[in-house]
Amino acid sequence: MWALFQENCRYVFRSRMVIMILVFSTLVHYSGLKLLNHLTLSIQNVVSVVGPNEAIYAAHFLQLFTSLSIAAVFGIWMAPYAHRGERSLLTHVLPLSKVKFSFCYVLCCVVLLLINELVLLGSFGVVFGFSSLAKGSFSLILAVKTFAFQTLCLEVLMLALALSSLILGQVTTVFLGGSSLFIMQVLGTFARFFKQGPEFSLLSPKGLLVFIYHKLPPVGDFIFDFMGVMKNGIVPVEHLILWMFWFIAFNLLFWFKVRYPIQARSTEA
Amino acid sequence: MTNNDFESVFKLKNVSIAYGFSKAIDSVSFELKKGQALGLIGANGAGKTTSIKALLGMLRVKSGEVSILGSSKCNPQVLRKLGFAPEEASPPEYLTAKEYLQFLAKFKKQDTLSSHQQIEEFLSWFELDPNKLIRKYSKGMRRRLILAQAFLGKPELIILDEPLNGLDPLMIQKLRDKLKAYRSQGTSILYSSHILSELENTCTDVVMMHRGSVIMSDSVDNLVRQFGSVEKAFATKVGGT
Repeated sequence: MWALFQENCRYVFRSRMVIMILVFSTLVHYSGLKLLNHLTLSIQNVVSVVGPNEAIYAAHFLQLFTSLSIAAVFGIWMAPYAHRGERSLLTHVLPLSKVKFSFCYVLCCVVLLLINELVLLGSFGVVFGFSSLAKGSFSLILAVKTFAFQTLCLEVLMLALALSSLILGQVTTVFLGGSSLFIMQVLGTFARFFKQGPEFSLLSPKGLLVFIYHKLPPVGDFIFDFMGVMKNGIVPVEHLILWMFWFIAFNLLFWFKVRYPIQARSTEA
Repeated sequence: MTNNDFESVFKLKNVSIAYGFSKAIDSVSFELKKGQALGLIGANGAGKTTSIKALLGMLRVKSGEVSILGSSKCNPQVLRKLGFAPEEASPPEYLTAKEYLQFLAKFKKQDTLSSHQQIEEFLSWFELDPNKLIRKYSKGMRRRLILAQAFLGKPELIILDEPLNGLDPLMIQKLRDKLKAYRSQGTSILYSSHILSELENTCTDVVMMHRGSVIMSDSVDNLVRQFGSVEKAFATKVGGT
C-alpha cells in the first residue's frame, strides 16, 4: 500500500499537478484575498471595511472552487490512469488487493487538498498577517472541521468521476459531471423549498423523485452545510451519514470496476 | 514430455467467455504442469489472449473452472509467484525503467539486495537505459521492458503473450536462451504466439486453438513425429476444419 501511495505521489508530482496547484491556488487565493483587503462595503450609507474576520470565510469559498477543480482533475485524469486500456493489464497483475487502489487515490487526493488549504492559509497570512489567523473568530478547530467535511464531500465526487471516467471515458465525464452538479444544486434548492411546502406521497411520481433525491449525495445542500460547519462546526447528521455512505459505496464500486479491467473503456478519450 | 505425475501449475476446465453476444472462447480446457513450456497457438482471434486473461482473473468466468498455482482465484499470493508479459501494454510513462522495476520488485517479496542485483542484471541484459523516462522509449525498448518485468523475482510461472512482437533477431535468440535457463530451474512457461517455428524451439507441449475452441493438445515431439513440424500440424488441423 505504501509503495503504491509513493508511486502515485510520484505520478502526481511528475505530471506537474503539484506545481499547477501551487501556481493556480496561489493566484486565486492571493489575488482574491488582496482584492478583499482593499474592499469597502457601503450598505445604506454605512461604510465598512472587510477585515480578516470576514475575509477568512470568503477565502474558504475561494478555496472551495480550487479544491473542486483539484478533485475533478484528479478523479477524471489521474486516478484512472493505471486502469485504462492496455495499461490496466500490467496494473491488474500487481500482487496486491485491488481495494487498495481506491484507498491510495483517496489518500493522494487528501494530500493535494491539504496543499491547497495550506496555500489558502499562507496567502491569508501574507495579506492579513499570520497573527490574525489566531485572533479571529474562525478557530483552528473550525478550520479542521471545515477541511474534514469538505474533503469527505470532494472525495465522493473524485471517486464518482474516476468511476465514470473508467466506464464512460474522460470527455463524457467532464460534461456529465458538470451537468450532474448543476442539476443537483438546482434540485437542492427546490428540495429546501419543499421542506416547508406540501408533503408528497411516496407513491406519486413527485414523491418518488423527492425520496430518491434524499438518498443521493446531498450535493444541493453542500453550500448550506459548508456555511454551517464554518460558522459553528455542525453538519446535519443525516447529510453526514449520506456522504459517508456514498464514500464507502464509490470505494466499493471502484474496487469492483478494477477487479475486471477488460471491461474498462480502452480509449484515452 | 507430458507427465501426468507432475504437479498442475494451472488448469482451465470447460471455460467459456463471451463479449456481449459473441463467444470468445467456448468450453476451453487445457493444463500446464510444473516444468512444462506450453505453447498456445492459433490464428488471430482464436481465443489465445482471452484464455490468458481468463486465467489471470481479468475476465469474469461465467462457466467452467480455473485453477492457478493451487488457488481457484488469481489472488495477490498467486500473482506474486507469476510473471506476465501482455501482448500490448503500456508501462507508466512517467517512470524510468529502473524506477518501474524497483516499484514492481517491492511486491515480489525479495530481499532488497537480491532484487537490486536482479534489476541491474535485467537492465543490462535487456539493453535498457535505466535512467531514461519510459515515455521516451521506442516501441522495441518498451517491449523489452515488459519482458524484463515478467522475469522479475523468481516466478514459478511465466506467461508470455506474443513476446516476439517488436524484438530484433538477436533479442529473440537471447530470450529463447533465457526461457530455457528458467525452465531448467523449474519455472513453468505459457507461451502464446503465432510464430510456430519459435514455439517448436522453446516449448515442450502445444495447445492449438481455433475459433475459440481447443482443437488439439499434444507434445511438440509427437507433433513433429506425426506431421514433420508444428507448422504443418497447424496447417493440417486448421486447414482441415
